[in-house]
Parts: sequence; structure tokens; C-alpha cells
Amino acid sequence: MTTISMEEINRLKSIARTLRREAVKMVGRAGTGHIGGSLSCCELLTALYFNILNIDPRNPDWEDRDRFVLCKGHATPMMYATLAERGFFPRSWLETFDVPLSKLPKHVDMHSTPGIEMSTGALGQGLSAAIGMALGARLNKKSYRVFALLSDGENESGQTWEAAMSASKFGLDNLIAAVDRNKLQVDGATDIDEKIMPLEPLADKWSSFGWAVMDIEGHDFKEILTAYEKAKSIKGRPAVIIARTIKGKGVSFMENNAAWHHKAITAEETESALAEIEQDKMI
Amino acid sequence: MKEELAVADAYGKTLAELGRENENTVVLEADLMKATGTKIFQDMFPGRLFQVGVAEQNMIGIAAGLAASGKIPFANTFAVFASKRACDQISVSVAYPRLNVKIGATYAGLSCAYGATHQSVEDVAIMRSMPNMVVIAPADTIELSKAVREIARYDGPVYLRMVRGKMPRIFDDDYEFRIGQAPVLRDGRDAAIISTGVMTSRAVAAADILKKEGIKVRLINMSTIKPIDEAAVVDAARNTGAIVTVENHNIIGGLGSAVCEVVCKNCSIPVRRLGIEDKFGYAGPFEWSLKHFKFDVPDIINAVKELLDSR
Repeated sequence: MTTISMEEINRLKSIARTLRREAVKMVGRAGTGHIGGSLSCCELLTALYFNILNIDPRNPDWEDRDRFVLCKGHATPMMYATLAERGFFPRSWLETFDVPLSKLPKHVDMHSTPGIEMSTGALGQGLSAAIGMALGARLNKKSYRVFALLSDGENESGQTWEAAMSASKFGLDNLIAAVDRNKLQVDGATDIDEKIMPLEPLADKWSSFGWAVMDIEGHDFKEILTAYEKAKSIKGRPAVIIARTIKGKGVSFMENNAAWHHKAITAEETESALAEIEQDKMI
Repeated sequence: MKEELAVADAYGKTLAELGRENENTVVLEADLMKATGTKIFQDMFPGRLFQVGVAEQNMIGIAAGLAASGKIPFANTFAVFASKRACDQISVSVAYPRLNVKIGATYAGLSCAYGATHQSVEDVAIMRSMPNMVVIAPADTIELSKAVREIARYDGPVYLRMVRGKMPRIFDDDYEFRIGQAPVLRDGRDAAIISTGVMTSRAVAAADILKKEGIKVRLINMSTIKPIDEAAVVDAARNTGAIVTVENHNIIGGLGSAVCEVVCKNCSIPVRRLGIEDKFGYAGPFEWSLKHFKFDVPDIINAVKELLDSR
């Protein structure tokens, strides 16, 4: 396995800081947005788009590209910030986030935004589409991989487990999923206090469905890159990375607070959040 | 007259032909392959048939991903499961992104004898109201085979409504099916019957009996329920002044509703809708259900006569 240099880690950290800042600015401009679950998947998207995925932003329809399906299709502030930073479209587009008829709608739309592979937003549906793409790669004799990023709340949906079962049946070692395990959803906490729907032992569940499972700290680039490298080497079955994250990561008043799943944000809160990200205190 | 193929056999045979002609043709099944008729496809192209078990929602999502990869997936199950259990998946993962998925929905309406759990009386209403969705119900196996070939050429989501068992032959081998074009099977100016799917053969029988009694009806086979052939409906309304619709579906939201939408926009004439009058079905043979729910041949004849008497 290739070693991961400190230079690369620092480069990714710097990008992540930029993406956090842009995501907060987008939500600040729009007045609302799914900021909590955007901040929690910042390092995962940064690692994917700036290290792992084999993609060409100048040619988003390149047939040999890796596919990425954002199953948690509402994490658009971070998704669009990532795509813009990677060069799929001009950064100026970010100012149009959630403006009616803009190319950057609140939930991802494959026909509106360059780089978006699948329209999602109704939770629980993305993994099935990713499986279809992985089967498509096999039929087309292509070596590209399909990556999917699920919310943890999606693990409460029946279709997710229908999909998990079938990916295992089809032996899709070209499919790598990750779960943004921030333990919070709209109505509260998945496992603690509110017990919206306890998911633990989550890794065991995926494992028993036939997946290779990696359980990692989802804000640590070294762990993320190592997990994806390992996932790529798995043969004969799909892999899932349970990435333990913090909802609202990087902005202290948003962290671990379900209220920031989707919430109106004031100009003062936006300024305060941006200042904190600049100081990089939390990361 | 030669023996008719069962609907499932005609569907499977056509898919197998398509499979041979175009390697992008793929098939998905949710544990109903024996009913949908695609075992022949699996035998010929085992690597291109994906069996997901009793998981229709996942089946539709996988089909969407395959379509996004350039494949032409035919995802098959009973109409009840396609339209209701996988309704959200068809809407969000197929219709909204306009992905090239064909939904083969069989045992539609009361053709399935297993009772309400397996009889789809709402599927046309659901699918018709879904943006980007084309809805087709062929009237015999010739039209079915031609429609399967046509929808494979068409780039976009299609809901293909089929029935259990056999359908009497209506069309010749050289019949040409076009999406959105409704063939006129009988012409006349006293009234019009607009039928779809398995009901067209009953409508033909009714029209022929009426003709013997001196009532000449125009009979339109509305195999494409959406987009409906508006010109055919308007022309029938203007030239006959009375329309009876016949469908193997709830009269709410199906073909009858679609015809009324066109009629009331263009020329107001009386329309009588025959079908299931907002009831769930019962376990029982299709022939029994047609009589019980009163949309069989005599009911079509009576409806035409009542409409003419009321004018």
C-alpha cells in the first residue's frame, strides 16, 4: 500500500477548509440549507474528489470515469462546493445555490449540474442506482469504479438493505460505499436519547450482508485514504466504509446539534461560522 | 386461426429477439420471471438478466443505474408491485431523471385472479400522472410485440401494461405500432368506443353486434394511454357526439378520465366510462370479474345504446 505523505494530507486539509467556507457561504446566501450533513461529509468528499476518483472535470461524460452517487442528495452545499473547486463548473455558480431554476438545486439533479451522476434526494434510493452503474461497468467491460455516499439515516430504509443484499449477491467489487455516520437526523439522534432508530451494531449489519466493512474516523484523511485504498483491493464483494463523523463539523455551535440538519441561518451566524473555519480551530 | 401465444410468452420472445439484436438489452426480475415470461431471455443471455428477489424498489433503482450506463433495462413485475410498491422509485429514480427504463407491468387490472392484493385497479392513474412517463397497454400479442420493439427504440421511461393469459388476435402481422397513435378498428358515426389493452377485443365484439343492429360505431384502440392521441379523441367526439370508454381499471384516473380531459378541453359531448367503479377486485377468473363489475360485451352495448337514447 502506498504511503500517504504529510504534504498530501495538508493539501487535502487546506482544500477541506475552502470547501467548508464555500458551503457555509452558500447556505448563508440562500438563508437555509442542509449544512450539518454537508459539514460532516467534507473530508469524505474532499478525499474522493481530490485524491481517489478517476475523473476529468473538463470531460464530465468521459465514459471511463469513476462514478460517484451522492445518495444523501440533500448534502448539496458541500457537493457543489466540491465540484466547483474541482473545476466542474465556475465558482460563481455557487452564488445561485437554491435559486429557483438555477443549475444548483437543493437536491442533486443529474441534468442540471455537471458532475452529478444521479438525481437523488428521496433517501434510500441512491445505492440501488449505484449498483446498476456497477453492473453496467461489468457489462460494458469497463474498469471504472462506482462510489456511493449514504447518510446514516438512510440505513433505516428498507431499500438500502435490499440493495446491500443484491450488491453482495452480484459480487460487486467495483462498488465502494461509505456511510456518513454522524448519528443525527432531522428528528434527533439515531441511537442515543431520542433513539429515532438505533442502527448499531451498524458495521456488523453490513458485514452480515456480505460486505467488506471498514470502520474509520471520518474526518481523518489518513484513515479515509487508507480505507479507500483497502476497499479497492477487495475482490469478489462490495466494500463499505463506516465513517464516524460529527454533524456540523468545524463550526462549534453546529456540531452535534440535530437542529442544524436543515435550518435558517442568520448573517451573524454565517459570519461567526466563517471566522471559526478560517481560524481552523476545530480541524 | 392459429393458436395465440400467451402474453408472457410473446413478451419474453420479443425481449429475447431484442437481446439478440442489441446487447444493451437487459432484463430485471423480482421473483416473477415465470409469470412475466422472461425465462427464455435468461436461458439465452444469463449475464444480462438480473434477479433481485422480492425487492421491486431495488429492482427499479438498479434499472435506473443500468440505464445511466447506456443499457436498455426492462424491469418486470406485477402491475400492482410496479405501480404501488415501487411508485416512489419509478417517480424519483426513473421518471424525474428521464432514464431509459422500461417497466414491464403484467397481471394488470382484474386479469390476475388472485384478488385485490394482486389486482391493479390504480396503476394507470398513478403512472399517467407521472411526468415524463409513457403508458402503453397493447390489445393483442401482435401489438405487444410491436410495442416492445418500439419502446426499445424510444429513449425514455415507459410503463408497459400487460395482462395474464391470452388475448384474442386483433391485428395482422404487418400492423405498425407508433407511440401516441391510436388505430381506428371500426368506423361509424353513431357513437365512438375508445378502449385499451385487453378490453379492445371485447369492444370489437360489441361494435360488431351493434353494427348488426344498425348502430355504426367508431372503435378506437387507445393503446398509448399517455401521451393520448388527442386528435383521434377530438375527431371521434366531433363526428360521433357520444363516447363510451372501456378499460380494465378503475374508472377514476384511467383511460376514461384521460378521454374526458381531452373532450372537455375541446368539445363537450357525453362520455360514459366503463371499467371498475372504484372498487377493489375479488379473487376469481377474469371472465367472472368482467361480468361482476359490468364492463363486459353486453355492458358496452348497453352503454352505447343508453348514450344514444339520452341524446
